[in-house]
Amino acid sequence: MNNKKIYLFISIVLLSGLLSKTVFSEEVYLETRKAEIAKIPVTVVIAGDDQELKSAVRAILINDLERSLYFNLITINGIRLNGVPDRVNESMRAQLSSSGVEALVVAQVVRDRDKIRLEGRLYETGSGELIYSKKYAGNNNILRRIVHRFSDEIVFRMSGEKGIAQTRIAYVSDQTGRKELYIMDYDGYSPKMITGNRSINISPDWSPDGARISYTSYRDGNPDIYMVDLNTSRRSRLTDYSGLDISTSWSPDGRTIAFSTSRDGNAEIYTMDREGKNLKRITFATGEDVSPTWSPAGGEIAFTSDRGRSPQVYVMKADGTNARRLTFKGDYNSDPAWSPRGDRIAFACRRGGGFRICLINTDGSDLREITNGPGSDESPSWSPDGKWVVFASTRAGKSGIYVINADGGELIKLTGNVGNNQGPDWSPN
Amino acid sequence: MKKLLFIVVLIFSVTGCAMQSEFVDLENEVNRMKVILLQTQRDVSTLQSKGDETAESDIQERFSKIESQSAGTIDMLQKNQADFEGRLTQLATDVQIIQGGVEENTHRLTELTESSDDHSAAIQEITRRLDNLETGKGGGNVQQDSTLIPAPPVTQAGQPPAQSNTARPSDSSMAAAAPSDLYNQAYKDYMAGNYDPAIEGFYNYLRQLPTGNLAPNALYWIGECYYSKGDYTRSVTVFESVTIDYPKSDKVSGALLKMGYGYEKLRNNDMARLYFKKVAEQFPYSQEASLAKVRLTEIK
Repeated sequence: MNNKKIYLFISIVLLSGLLSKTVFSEEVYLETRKAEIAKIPVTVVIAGDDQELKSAVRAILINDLERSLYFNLITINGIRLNGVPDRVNESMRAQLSSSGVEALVVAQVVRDRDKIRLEGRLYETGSGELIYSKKYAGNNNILRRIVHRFSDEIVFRMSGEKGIAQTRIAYVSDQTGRKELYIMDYDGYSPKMITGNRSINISPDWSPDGARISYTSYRDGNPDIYMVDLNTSRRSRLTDYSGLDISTSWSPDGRTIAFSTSRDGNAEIYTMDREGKNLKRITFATGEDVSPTWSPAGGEIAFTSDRGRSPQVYVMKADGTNARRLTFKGDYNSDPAWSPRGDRIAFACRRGGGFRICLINTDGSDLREITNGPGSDESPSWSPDGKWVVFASTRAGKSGIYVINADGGELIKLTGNVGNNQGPDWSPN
Repeated sequence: MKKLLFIVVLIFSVTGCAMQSEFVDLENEVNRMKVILLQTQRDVSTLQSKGDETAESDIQERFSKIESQSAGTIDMLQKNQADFEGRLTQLATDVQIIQGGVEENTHRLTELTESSDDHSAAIQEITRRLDNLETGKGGGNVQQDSTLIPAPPVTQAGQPPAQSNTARPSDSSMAAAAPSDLYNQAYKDYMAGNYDPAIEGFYNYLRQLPTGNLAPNALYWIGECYYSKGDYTRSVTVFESVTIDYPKSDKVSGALLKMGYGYEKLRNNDMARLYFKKVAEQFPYSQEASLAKVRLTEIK
């Protein structure tokens, strides 16, 4: 054997490998990733005498089931039910099975003056057996909430995962002329103002238990961090430094809040407890460090920094050690949001004149753009099931709140008001 | 890296001197103003005690003269200050540009080292097979070799199997994953908070490529995993190995700092202080030094 020849051959292979790697590392993947999991074929039947109520319930339920991304809704004509049976009769079962339907959802709805009663049932069409049944009741004005609850139950029974139909989205809107905080349902319905101080209120962030929202407000003349308890509506001010305190992020255990402050000249990231005490500075860079977001495991914080001149996304330990840059493509990457599963980070990436929503793996691989304009797309936040990203976009002129599938499909506009709507943050479920 | 650091330090020290002299100028100017003010106050009180009304116009004249004089001086002071701020901003920008350049180069280097790690692993494997062919001239040895099993990782915290020559990669593990894949998977596990598989993965990487370019990082992450698990004793030992086995790695400042944190958690404040001081002295311009200084002021 001639070792020299072999080594020469290996060297050539090596070199070509290195070169090709260098060339291809510049490539950016733009294609969208399609949902890999096969959807469960489901049919929905709404029973009852009140046609208006029936169609309202049908619309909400079908929308919820579709947005869970677990189901493929199949319409079958001619299925009639008088009340809710204990099991699906044989002829109906055969009809459903032959259409490939694996589960039947039945909701019987009754209006009793200003009260609504909904009896929800879920059947498996293979055996015809009832696998879930529950009665819901409430005032007319919580109809949507009742149906969302039923939908989440169906999702849980069929997939084992928590549904997102009862989640909400906090955001900033200037529809009254002032920037106030609002909360709406995940599907854009039932918006409700939660500040109303006729000042400027921005960057809401949900606590991990969904009971509180931290935000920045100018209500006392200076941008400070406040917290509102959604159960009691009690507000408290967490910081009162004369400079700028902004962009809060709750740690997953709900004990610590990371935020950005100008108290050291330029913006640095600090952590504090939820009473606003025990302040700890964790970044010390030349440049602005803003927009912290915690990893779901709680060990790391991603943030935006211009320590390397152009704003980029960095990752560090939650104690400030071992900061390292995550994004290298593009001259402006900001607003990181850590996915609930911990494997990806969404952020706003500048392309040309506007921003897009980009996703990247936490090891810096697999950069993808999931929106493509027009206008500018900013402030991404993940749905708690990790399947959707909510963001603010100027694609239709004024800034509105949109959701998009995390694989880049199914863009839906949530806000329909006349104002500018920004800075969305999705609640936990 | 070092050159750049040297340049940054040089810029700092040169401009630092310039700033010093500016400060001295400013101080002198302020002192001169103080003297003028004192003189004026003294004049006023003398004149007042005399009660001489005829001197009033004289006083006013002198006041307006002083006012115009001091206005000029204040203008100059403000201009100096503005110049000074401008230069400081420029300096900060320069530092950021350099920092950005360093980050991008390090990133490219990491990408290259990852692939060169994979290639050296492939070469190792090919060489080993060639040796087998040349010496054994048969499949028996290959068969025997492939039964080698890597040593268990967890028992050897702090003494990375990386340094041991006895642990050699088996055929199956080599075929299963390139070192960079092993490393990346372990890093993903670490990020997801799955510390035990992460520790195992990083040790596997170290076993495959004891002198790999990412070896110091792998060992550092093992330390971080133990730290995150709350096993501070092991984390301190592993971080110490980083500083001993890879003294030139850029992970050393972080490892020293984390040793300090670890000792603080273990309620050994003397040792904690020792390591915080080490970071501040050996890496005075690093983020880690800033964090260490905070701990030094807060630790009791």
